[in-house]
Amino acid sequence: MKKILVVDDNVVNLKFVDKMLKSNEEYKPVLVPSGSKALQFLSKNVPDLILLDILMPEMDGYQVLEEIRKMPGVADVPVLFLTAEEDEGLQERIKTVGAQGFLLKPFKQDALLKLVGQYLA
Amino acid sequence: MEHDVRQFDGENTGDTGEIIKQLTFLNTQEGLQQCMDDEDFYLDIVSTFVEDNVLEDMQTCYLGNDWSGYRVKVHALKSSSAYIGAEELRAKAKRMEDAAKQEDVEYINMNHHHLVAMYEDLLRNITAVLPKRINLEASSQIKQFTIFVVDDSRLNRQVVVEVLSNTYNIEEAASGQEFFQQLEEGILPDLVLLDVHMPRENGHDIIGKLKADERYVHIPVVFMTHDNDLSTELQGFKEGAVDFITKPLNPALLMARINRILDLYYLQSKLQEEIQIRTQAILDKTQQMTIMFEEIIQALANTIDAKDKYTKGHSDRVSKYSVMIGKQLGYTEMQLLRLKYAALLHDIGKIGIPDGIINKTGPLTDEEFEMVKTHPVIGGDILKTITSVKDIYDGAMYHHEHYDGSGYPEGLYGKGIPEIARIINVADSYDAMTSHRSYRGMLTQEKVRSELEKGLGSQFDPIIGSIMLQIIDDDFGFTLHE
Repeated sequence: MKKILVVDDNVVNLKFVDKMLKSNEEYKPVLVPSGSKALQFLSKNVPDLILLDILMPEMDGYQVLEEIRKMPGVADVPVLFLTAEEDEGLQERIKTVGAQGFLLKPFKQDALLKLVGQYLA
Repeated sequence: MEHDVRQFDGENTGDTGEIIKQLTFLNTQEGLQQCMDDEDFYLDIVSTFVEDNVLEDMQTCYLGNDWSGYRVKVHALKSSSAYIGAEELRAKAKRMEDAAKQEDVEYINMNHHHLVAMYEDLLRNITAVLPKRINLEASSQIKQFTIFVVDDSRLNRQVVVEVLSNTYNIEEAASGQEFFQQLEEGILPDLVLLDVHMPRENGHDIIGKLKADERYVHIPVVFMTHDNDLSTELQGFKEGAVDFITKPLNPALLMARINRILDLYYLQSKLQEEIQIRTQAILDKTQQMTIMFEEIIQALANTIDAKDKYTKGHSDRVSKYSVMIGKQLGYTEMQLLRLKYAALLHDIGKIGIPDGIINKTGPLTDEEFEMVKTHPVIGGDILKTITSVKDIYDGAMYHHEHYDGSGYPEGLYGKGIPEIARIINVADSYDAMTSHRSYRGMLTQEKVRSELEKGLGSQFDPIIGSIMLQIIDDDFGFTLHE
């Protein structure tokens, strides 16, 4: 089983990603609605992959990742951003904060599975 | 606003395909496609859309002018709307997100209520189709409207219940008497559907009573009538009805009319609520600023009294006496406030006089006295930047001018001296005479009175001086002194 942490403040988004990932029996998604909940989970668990929303209240995706990279044990877990942000410089910023990649919302199931598959081989 | 009119077609069958067909206000084809053509999952997402709605969060951010928070919320609304196939709402949310990103507050202010109305409308419509799936506790933020139908025909009431009870709370009464009885019992409807023709009390009588009662005057009333009689309608509008519906009732039209009226009324009451909240916020802020302003003035006044240990509290007392005189002159609240501030600060120029002179116990030499006499000019110089309240400058600069022109620094006379300075001059002299000084004790009240009387027309403005004499005469126990 591959444990995948999904972080998004929007429950509808969480349910979508959950549904898409579960089509692969090997994947076990863990859903959390905020950055602080994600860090709480990561303090005790090490997932195989983290899917992270960017635009969230309180702590945004960039800030969450910054914290993750400081945490022993999970600092090396690959992180993919799931974002509807089409801001200029998004690619650059994602590289500088140290994410492995990103997927623009709304995305199709096969696009998500393909990207996720690259990091869970 | 556009309305999606849903024909009533009985209970939910439980069959997902049938239920989805009832979601006529959504682009279900698009939504299903998003949901990988899984009908059950689609309905789950639609329910989540209602249960985890961001209505209250949006409202909180909006009222708190928290635009970055607002942006996150409309962003979430935009993407959720896209998933369920709510195209109009998605487009509106997207425009709002862009506006919030640019902090285009004007655009947000103009469109926020429209967005909320659309959003709520959709939440209500979905809840009506999926009452069993949606966890109502979670979605309790959506207001459930109550509609009161008053009609002596049971059949008509039944039609209304059938058409509207999925979306709204329905109360029924067969007569005016029964209706008012239920109102007295505490039912407060959001809308009244009123039959015009009834035995005993008819619709006109009932609306008259409603509109005459402060508790119910704001409730919109819709008349139901058989006749297409123009005069009945005109009379109804005059009596305060908001709309008419002709019998026999057409379900689609009934639903559309009621939706529209409730939207407008709810929007209006929300706007009023918001105006109240915002007005209160401005008032609070203004009050805070006023308090701060007063505290700063008081602190400045304290600096003078701290320096001059023999005249402790002098500024406060001069201010108090000045305001007493101002009241007798018929000053307004605003004028009194300015007078109070000016009097509190009249001696601020003493800051520039050496401590040795200010606190000297023996008589001053001519040279020292000349120095003391510069304090109005120093004060004027300190306060000249306060141009919004010129009285403050005038008080400090001219409170040693005499009515006959023998004062300083400019030797102004009569009405050429600002009135505020003439008032402070009288109050200042009165306090000087009624305070303990290093070189003498406090004078008796008679002595003070005769000194003041002697100065009328020479040092003092005769009218203002006379007012002070009157204040002294009214002060039987001689309570006004240091």
